[in-house]
Amino acid sequence: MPLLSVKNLSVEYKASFGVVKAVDGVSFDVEKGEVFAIVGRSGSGKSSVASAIMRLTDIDGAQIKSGEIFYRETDLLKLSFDDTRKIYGKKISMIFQDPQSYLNPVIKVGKQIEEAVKVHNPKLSKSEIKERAASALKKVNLDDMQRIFNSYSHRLSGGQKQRILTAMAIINEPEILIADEPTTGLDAAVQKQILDLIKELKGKMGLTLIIITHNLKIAEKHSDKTAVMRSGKIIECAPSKEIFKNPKNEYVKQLTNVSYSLPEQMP
Amino acid sequence: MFTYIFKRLIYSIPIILGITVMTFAVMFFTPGNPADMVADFNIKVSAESKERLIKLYGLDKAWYEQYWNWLKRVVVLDFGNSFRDGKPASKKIAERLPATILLNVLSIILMLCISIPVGVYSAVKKYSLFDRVLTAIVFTCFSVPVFWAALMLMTVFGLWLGWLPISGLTSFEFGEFSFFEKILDLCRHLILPVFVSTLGSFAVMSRYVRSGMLDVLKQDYIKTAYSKGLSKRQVVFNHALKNALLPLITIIGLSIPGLIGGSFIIETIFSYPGMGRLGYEAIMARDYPVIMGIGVISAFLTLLGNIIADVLYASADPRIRYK
Amino acid sequence: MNKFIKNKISLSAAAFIAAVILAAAFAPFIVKYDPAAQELSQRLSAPSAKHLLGTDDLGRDVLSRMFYGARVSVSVGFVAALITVVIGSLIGLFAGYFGGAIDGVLMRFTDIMLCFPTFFLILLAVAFFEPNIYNVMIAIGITSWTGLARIVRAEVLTVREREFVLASQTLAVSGFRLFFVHILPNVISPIIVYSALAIGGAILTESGLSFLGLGVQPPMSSWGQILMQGKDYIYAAWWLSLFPGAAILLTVLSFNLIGESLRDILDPKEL
Repeated sequence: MPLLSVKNLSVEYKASFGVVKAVDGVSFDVEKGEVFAIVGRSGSGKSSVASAIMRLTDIDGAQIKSGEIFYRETDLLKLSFDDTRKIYGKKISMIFQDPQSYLNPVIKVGKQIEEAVKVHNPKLSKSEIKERAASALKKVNLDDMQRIFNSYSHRLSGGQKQRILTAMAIINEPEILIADEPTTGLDAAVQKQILDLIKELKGKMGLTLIIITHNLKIAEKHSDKTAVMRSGKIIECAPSKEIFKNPKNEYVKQLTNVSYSLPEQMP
Repeated sequence: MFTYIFKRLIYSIPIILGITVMTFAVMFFTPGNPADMVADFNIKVSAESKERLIKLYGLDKAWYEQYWNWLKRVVVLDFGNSFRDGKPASKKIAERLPATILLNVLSIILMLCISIPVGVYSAVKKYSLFDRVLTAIVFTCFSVPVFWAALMLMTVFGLWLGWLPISGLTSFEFGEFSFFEKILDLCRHLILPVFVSTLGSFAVMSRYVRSGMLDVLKQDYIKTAYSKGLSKRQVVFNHALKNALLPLITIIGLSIPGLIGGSFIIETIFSYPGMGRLGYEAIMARDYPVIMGIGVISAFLTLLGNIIADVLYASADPRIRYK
Repeated sequence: MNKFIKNKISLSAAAFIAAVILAAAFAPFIVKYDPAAQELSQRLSAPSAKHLLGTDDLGRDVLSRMFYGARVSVSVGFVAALITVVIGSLIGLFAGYFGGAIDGVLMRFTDIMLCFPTFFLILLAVAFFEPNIYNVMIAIGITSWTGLARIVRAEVLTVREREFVLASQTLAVSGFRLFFVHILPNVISPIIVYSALAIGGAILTESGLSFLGLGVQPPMSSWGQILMQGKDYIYAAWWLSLFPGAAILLTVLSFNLIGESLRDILDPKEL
């Protein structure tokens, strides 16, 4: 039985010109311990898949039209919103693209980290919470904990912010970590550090990883299995070794021949 | 922080000068001069003594000299003596100012107490029945003539039901009341004026809260908060509220002139002993020193309110750095 | 436009405004009574078949007076809003377009105006220069433009920033072209929305002035003025206060609703 299984997922949102199908009947399985990559251009629906898994579609004004998302035996989409609160941040976590805007600008970073512990461990004492926060920061290779704790996010660099977001995501030792373009908006050197960090954490904690990216190189280098998305559909899904050496779909063939990195913008 | 406040004050100096120039210009360009007015009030004033008055007010000098002389007195809050009773205008204003400030501060507090929960709730329950009903109420409040609302409320609660007094700030027997009775009496007198002066600004403010909240709830850091497993309530109160309410500080500052402007009409209707009614009476009687004094003082209060709002905002929002 | 038709509320608001404008325009042909004709035997009579909305303290027909009052409200609303919009747009456009010292001076002037309670300035102006309909229009018009000036300036600045990037790529874009092709179309929608709100605001202010006895003077009638007379008889003759107040409320509400739906249509990003 796969750890996460998406079945026939469809997500729609209303635009000024009509209804757009962001995700159109997508199915895939993610096995425990696997690194699963979803590749596609922006607008291909890859981020909407992640939003649906995290039940965040409402915020973007999108709606899950149909489908099932099984985490072990539980269909996440059948749970009430309140029941999902016990799963996210504890069993399934996510880090987002462009860390600049994903930390609350008016709350001190330390409080935001501690909150992630507290919400799933309400009985812990203050010092225990602080201890866990400190060890999470250590895991993402952030020293200078005191300064970071008392800072607001605008005082930190992009790389530091992404590390903090990563620390918050892994602080409760989840089973699944979804990383949506985790390196966008960061310097090339920092990009590599973050990728290495995620891989390192995977090794240490036995995470199951879902990496969403437009960068074929990342998918090829780091993932076990890759799904290629285009216009809301998965057009090919296979072990990464095969898909990059021997793609079956015409579009995927083009992609792998032309360039390793898909342009973020539609041409 | 102190340099920021200092800079903000320096920046206000041209505005303060502008306020005095504007007020002076209004006095200078309006038909009829103060000496005429004094003469009109007192028929016994002869042509000769009118000349003397013109000299006294310096009205025979060039405008810039007049302005300079007037400005020198304004700096020490000397606006001259009222034409009506000869009392210093600044003293008359000082007597009335606390009542107006009381009215407006209470209005701001009531406005925030209503509009924040209302705005937040209708943003969180966007397009629900509650939100729709509230939007309708808000639009009505925004469009209702305040004096008419005052009239209707006075009729219902004052005349028909007899629950509340309809004029003044205190009852006749106020002097004989015990401390507790005095407070109660004040409150009873304040209910209607405060409520009426809250009507319009409540509508605007709850709209601001609602749209601010809707905007914040779409932000990326809200996604982070949800993905940590926080409940809706925690997200709204711990993460969204502060971001949504920060801009209100500035808006409250900006709403001060509107509130003072509203006091002119509300205080007149309720015979409320504040600066607004004094101003209305002064305007009707062309009591220049009092009018000028009220103009300058209300503009200063507004400016001060805006400076305080800016400083509060700067200290509440960590993103703003004082350079 | 589709959205506009669909929205029943804005449609009925528009219909109400149309009715008020028609009533104002054709008042002499519609009303049964001369609005100034006094019929002292009929003083303060309640609404009846003869006088649909009753009579006032001088026995004048309230309905007729309200039809004539609509003329004042509508004309003050439109003219004052026109003055407001012209001044506000010009100041905003100049400040944003020329920038530099002109911007500095105009915006400081706006800041100074913002410090004064608008209603105080209007009261002052009307009281000192004789209260009549023209002075009311002018006084409201020249004091209410500050908000619009700021909005227009901000809009021009955003457009300029964008267009200058474009201009530097596509060689010279003349100032004239920049203004009419790029800037004007972008500022026109906030100006239209503001106009609708300004009309409602001006009608409210006029009624407040009339209520304080500083609006149009007898024998002309306005809604605020009927209310002023009515307040002394509020116990005996509720119809003198209720109907004109409701007329003001509904008219202003209609303009505000129109303004809001215009905002939805022209600027859908803001909700």
